[in-house]
Amino acid sequence: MNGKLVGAALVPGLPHLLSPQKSKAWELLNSAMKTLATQIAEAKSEALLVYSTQWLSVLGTSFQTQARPHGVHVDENWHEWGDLPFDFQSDVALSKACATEVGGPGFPTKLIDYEEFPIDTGTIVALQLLNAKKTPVSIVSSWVYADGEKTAQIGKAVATAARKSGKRVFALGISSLSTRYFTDEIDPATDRLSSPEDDAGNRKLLGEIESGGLTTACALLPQLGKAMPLDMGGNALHWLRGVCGENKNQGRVLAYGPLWGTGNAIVHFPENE
Amino acid sequence: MTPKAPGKIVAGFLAPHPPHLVYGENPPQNRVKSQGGWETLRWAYERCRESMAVVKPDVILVHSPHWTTIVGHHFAAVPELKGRSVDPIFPHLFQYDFSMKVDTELAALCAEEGKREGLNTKLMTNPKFRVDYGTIVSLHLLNPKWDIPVLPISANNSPYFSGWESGQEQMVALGRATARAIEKSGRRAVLAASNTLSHLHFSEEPNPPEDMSQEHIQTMGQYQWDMRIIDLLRRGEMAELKRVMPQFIDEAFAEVRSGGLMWMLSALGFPTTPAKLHGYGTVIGTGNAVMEWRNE
Repeated sequence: MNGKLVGAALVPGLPHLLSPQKSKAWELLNSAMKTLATQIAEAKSEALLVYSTQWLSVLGTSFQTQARPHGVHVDENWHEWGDLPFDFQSDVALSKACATEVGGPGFPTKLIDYEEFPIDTGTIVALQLLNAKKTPVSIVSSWVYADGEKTAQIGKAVATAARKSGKRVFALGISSLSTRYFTDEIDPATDRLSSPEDDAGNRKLLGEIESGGLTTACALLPQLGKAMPLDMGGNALHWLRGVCGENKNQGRVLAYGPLWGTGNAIVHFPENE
Repeated sequence: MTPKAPGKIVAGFLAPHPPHLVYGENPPQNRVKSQGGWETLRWAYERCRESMAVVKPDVILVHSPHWTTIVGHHFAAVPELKGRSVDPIFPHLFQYDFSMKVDTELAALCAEEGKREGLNTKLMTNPKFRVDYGTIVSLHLLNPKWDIPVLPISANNSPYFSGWESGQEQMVALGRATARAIEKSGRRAVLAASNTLSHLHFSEEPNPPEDMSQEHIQTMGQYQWDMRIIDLLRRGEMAELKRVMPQFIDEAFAEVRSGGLMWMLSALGFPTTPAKLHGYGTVIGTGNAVMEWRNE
């Protein structure tokens, strides 16, 4: 196993991030994405392994194997903000290897190689901000029938595939924290967390990620999820827990803030191997 | 100028959208070909097509859970939308080249009437917008010739976000607004609620996917719920339907939570006349009923 995980990150995937001029809060998050992009580059990443809560799958976990997804995406809600062009290279070998590892324990998997397959907003936004160098990408879906533990096992399996790949791989979990959106039009300049309770819950989670790590933070999710809506139940954190391993998985919060009332953070998990 | 005669909703359909039904039919628009399958549901849609030929609508409005919006209820308002729709869940079954004329005048009227109801509404005017597969499947199955203008309507996620009651209140208000807009437009309109009933899928599919020896409902509980809901609709028992709906949604993970059925029933004035069941069938474990409310 000559490959290694050279780091991981939790990032949001909402299109507001691409309009930092509209809001100081969005600018703060956008700026942290730029910082993270530098860290990814400094880690000399040869592949990005991406899990997005906005790519949902039913038939187990899907893996993008189309060699060069490209096109123009329009967000289904914020369509008036313009088009989201995308064009990236897939790391097809890594995607196939991930599917093999995930399928090993008996989880259903599917390879996705279809022209004009709809790439999700989260993946497009994150790659636009983080992947200027056009590093090849391996995208993993969010299986709707996987709970936190299954999702962590899937994360662990893709990390094994990354290590076996011989490449330096950086993992991205694309997800918000709390997902209580404002459901009316707002002035972006006034954006804030839509609920003080959600804000407190997000901060508690991030504090635990920094002090204890992903394992103890994930243990908080069932309780926090009773009081606030979490993006796919917090499965991106479980996936990152699986990717990073159960130990030494503390992260550094680069920024935290609102996107249309939801809670979002950019958290860097440095290499721990 | 002669004033327009008032428009009218001439029929409503519960029009579920599993892409498998288009895949099974093998229309030229779909790039993927099958050996058939899911015939009972496809035959049910054939009976809907016969009804469409009788009622001769000017427009078909479709409310799809796969165009999800967070801020308000959106109406497609681009004169022509075209492109290829690849289903993100079942891409191996549905890669469909679509082209649809949109009734933008009715879209504007619906948005305006929605605002009168206190709803947040918006027109979708981006010509590069990719129409969701739920909208396309329901429309194809009702009218494969695509020779009738359409009006796609988004599923605001308020039923998921604000809880059942306030979410459904919005859908009821949207239905009232839609009915008034149609009346003002002078159009003969068909409504399509693009919803499955019970909605738990199997995580694995047979090879080939159209192997009907493997097709059945996922659980007996789902089946019993589906039959209970169909029975209520066939007897026009709207009060009881509203009463049991939250329990149905919770226990059968029913897709009607997204609001399409309530929107349509509200626009039709919560009809106590019996709905006509054209057919029921399962698709990868989910329960699907094709039903019609004739309104003239």
